[in-house]
Amino acid sequence: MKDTLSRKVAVQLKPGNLFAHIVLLGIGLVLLYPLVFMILAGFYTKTEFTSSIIGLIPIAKAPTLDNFTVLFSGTADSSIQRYFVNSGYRTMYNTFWALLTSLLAGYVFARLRFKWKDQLFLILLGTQMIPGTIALIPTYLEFARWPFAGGNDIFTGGKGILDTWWVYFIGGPSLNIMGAFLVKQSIEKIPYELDEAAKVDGAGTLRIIFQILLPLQMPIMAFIAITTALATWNDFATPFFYTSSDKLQTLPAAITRLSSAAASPGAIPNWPLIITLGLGMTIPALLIFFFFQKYIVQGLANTGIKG
Amino acid sequence: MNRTKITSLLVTALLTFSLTACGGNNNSNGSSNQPQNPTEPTESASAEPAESTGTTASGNPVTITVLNEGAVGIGVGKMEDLFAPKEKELKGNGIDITYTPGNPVEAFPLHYQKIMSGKLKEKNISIKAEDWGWGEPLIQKETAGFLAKNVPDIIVGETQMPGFAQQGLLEPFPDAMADEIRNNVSPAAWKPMEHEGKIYGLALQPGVSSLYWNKKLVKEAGIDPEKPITSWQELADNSKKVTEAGKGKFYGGGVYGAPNFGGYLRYGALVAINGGTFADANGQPTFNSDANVETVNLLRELNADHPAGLMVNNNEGTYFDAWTKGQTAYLIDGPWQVQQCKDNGLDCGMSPIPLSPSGEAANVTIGAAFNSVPKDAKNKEAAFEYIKAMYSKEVQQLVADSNVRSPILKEIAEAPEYKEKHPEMYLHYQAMSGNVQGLPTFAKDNSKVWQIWGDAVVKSLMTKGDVKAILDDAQKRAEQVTK
Amino acid sequence: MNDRKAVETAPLHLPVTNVSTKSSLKKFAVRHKDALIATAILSPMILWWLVLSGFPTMFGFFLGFFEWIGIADSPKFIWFDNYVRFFQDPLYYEALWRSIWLGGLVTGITLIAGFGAAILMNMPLFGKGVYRSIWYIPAVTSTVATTQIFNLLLDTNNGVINNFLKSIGKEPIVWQYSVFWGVFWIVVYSVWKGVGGAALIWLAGLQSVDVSLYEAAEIDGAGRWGKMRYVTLPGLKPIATYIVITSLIGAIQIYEQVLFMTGGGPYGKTEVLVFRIYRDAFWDFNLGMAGASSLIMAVVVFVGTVFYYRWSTNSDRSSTIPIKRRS
Repeated sequence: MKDTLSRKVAVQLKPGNLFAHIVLLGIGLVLLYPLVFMILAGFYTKTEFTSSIIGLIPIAKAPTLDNFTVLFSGTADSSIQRYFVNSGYRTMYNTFWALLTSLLAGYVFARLRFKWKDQLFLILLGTQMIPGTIALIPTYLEFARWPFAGGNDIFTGGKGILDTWWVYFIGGPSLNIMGAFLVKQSIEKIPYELDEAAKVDGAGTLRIIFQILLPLQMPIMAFIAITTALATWNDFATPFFYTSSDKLQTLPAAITRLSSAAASPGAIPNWPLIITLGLGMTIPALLIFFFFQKYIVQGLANTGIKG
Repeated sequence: MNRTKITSLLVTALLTFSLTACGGNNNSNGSSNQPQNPTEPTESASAEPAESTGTTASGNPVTITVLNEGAVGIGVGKMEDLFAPKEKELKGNGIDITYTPGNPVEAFPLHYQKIMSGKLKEKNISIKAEDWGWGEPLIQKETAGFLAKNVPDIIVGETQMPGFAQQGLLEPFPDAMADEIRNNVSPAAWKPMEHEGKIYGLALQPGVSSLYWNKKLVKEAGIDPEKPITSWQELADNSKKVTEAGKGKFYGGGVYGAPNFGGYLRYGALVAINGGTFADANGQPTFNSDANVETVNLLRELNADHPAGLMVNNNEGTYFDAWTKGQTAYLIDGPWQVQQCKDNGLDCGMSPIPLSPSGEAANVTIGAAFNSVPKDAKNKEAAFEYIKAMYSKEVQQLVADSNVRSPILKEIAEAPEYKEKHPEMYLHYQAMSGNVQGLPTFAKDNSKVWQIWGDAVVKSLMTKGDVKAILDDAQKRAEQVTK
Repeated sequence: MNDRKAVETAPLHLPVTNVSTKSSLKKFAVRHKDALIATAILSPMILWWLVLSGFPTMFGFFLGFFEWIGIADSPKFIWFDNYVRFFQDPLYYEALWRSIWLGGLVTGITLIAGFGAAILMNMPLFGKGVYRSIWYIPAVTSTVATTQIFNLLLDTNNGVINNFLKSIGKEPIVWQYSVFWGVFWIVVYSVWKGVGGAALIWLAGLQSVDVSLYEAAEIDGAGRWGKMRYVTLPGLKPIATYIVITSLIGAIQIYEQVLFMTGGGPYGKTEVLVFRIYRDAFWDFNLGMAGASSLIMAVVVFVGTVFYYRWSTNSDRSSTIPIKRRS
């Protein structure tokens, strides 16, 4: 026992490995620094933050927990807990659809043969290259003109689906193109004989997808789940832009609103509060990542180049 | 077969979309690909009030949607439901929530909303509050809202609002109301929102700039800290003296000069004092006037009394940070500095902005949240009631008691006890009463033209080039954009 | 809406169709069946996708053919005037060019740094997972908050870095009025935010290289560099294709750090095209120019991607050592 342990330590201390430790830890700490800064800045009062010179490691002379109180319990008008729940539901919903559409579309592009398949795929891929800014206003118009919704006669008269749960409901089921691409690459590596054998046993397409292929895609699915979850969790634009009611807000949009209240016209922004709120958004995302990061590596490795 | 299917699917989809898009768009604009009659939008807009007055017949209970900003907001939703939780929260934080008119008030937003609600209740109007943030996100959402004709009854904003007014997106105040405002309300609150003789917006508690100085630093330079500065020359000289006395520890300072609205709003006051302008009545640039050359020369002189690069630093916080940390002695800024000096333990002097040799007192509204009624608002009549309540005696008394901004209602601000109780804010009120302007909106590509101006000023400050030549060049390039 | 960004770290490599040949009659039948299934599965998704992102984007492009200044004015059809202006006005074509080289610079540095980190993380170390997590943290933090921290560090007057320079007797640097430093800090910020993700993907690539090939190379007498040159690098090719394309797409579209850190200054010399598009759309209400710029940008990126993809996959075919399945 002791022997293996010391051998293990010895391995770690080999010049190459030691060098790796030093570099990874050293640069890692630099990468971590802004997060540390954010946490420490959260203990400042606004006055101290604006009137004293902030050093490399900011230590508040008169530390306060007020910023964290706002973060955890919100103010009277903004119930952080509700935003948390909304964010959570929305993240799960979008993740579910991302997984389903990626799997199905990935299967189609990997296994089925039809004309214009590659062209269609390239076009879908090409859409990832358009700056998102340009679609913001047209999407808003589209939601506002949603036929027969929210007091609209065919196209006008009401708010359409703006500021309703529909904004989130219809946001989920869209095709996740990058995910589909990943699944496609992965399925192509699996021998076609597997499908054939299942077909001989009388399995239909759906059974092939869900019973034969899906179990082999679990790491990939984990990867898609994590990236989608992180993106949805951090998505500020959708809730902010297309909804206004308090009951529909999610964490990032609510945090942006609280931040803007902390920066009312003409005043010095309350940076400690803004930074703390930003931190509050980051931490759940970090937890998602910590929990799943080993799957990300496995998931990607699985699509590798062998075959 | 597949090909046909997918193609036809795509084509059908595309067609449906363009029809939808055009349909949605054409509601206001008519057919998109024909040369347009410029008066058309006005026509279609003027047709709308008729349609909406039906819903706002007085007497019927009406709910209006109001955008709030940070200084007055207490939450979103039905206003009456917000009071109780807010009171509880404030009490929990040890804040005094009582208020009797004429006495100091701690919970300003709460009492503002309570008074507003009460006044509108009399007219059978209830309030639903929304909050679209401030600054960039607010502008984005308002832009989209206007396009989709999905806007609250009252919208709020700062530098974007005059532009909205010029584009015809806002409803002018009814004439009787406009007259009342002109007679009874300080110009800083509405002048920037005046366009072609109509008023399009009102700020509850706007600011204008004053000169502030850090008495301690001024004294160290051997200058009498109690004596206000009256001329530009004196400002430049004093600032220089402080810089020399500071020996790199502190500087004279003066005014923020960066190429952004934070800068334009502050030194805009100097431009106005010297009789200069940024644009003419048609939104065409007027950058290279002699008056502007003189003003920029003053800025260049003041720039030497700042730490390198501070005066034109794009990040506004940096500039004001130096002031709050006692590193610059003079500052031109809005009324909130009075409170901030106290918060940050600075002993500050305050006076009107000094004048240029041929100049006259003038100012630019700053830190103002203008409230306006959009053309597409559903309850315009009720919305105007809301604006009326903003400059009512009760609300303005509350602003006076808050002692952070000055009231805009002459009746309150010019009463003898106001001057006595709030000397600094009275000084600020006086600055609001003269020739107060807003920043102009250029005829086309507004932000690009401002950028040209801002960069020209920076160039004048950061290089030794001839100011006149730099501004001439900027004028030329700006004209290319606006024409 | 956000789905587009959701899986941008997904590998991309050459689709290999290895369906075994069947009799022509059977193939014919299968093809018909496949098309039906494909239509059944894809059409709802594509329809949904069109509603959510396809139509709005096309509408945005469509606006590029209009002069539409000010929300209340009516759009005027002007054919290609906006596009002509794009290539005449240095404000636009310079911003496009800047986006391209800045994006290239960020991508290059991020990928090289990430690769180095991945090689280290691939060594038999204790706490690899901790390192991976720490390195990935910047990617999940909010841009608004973290750019503000960079700004605090770079404050000319009281900033941490300048205070340090002053304390060692050096002149403080006016970061904001130097194009070099402006670009430098935008790049540093972007690399800081992206390096962890890049390292993770490279790591996945490294782990998927067949171990038996290293053994074979060792038998052939290859040293450390030989193994890297003949086994690791070729084995990483497909993942490299993916990561270069996705990083470049991401890096060309950066604008938040520009907005929050330099504001495009000094004198607009750090302005990138997406920032210009953003300002056209929301500050100047010039939706026509915004649409035209977006389309031009999308075309440039798309053409670049297709070329790179083709080049990369072609050279893949010719140079990659065939990798055997691990037994």
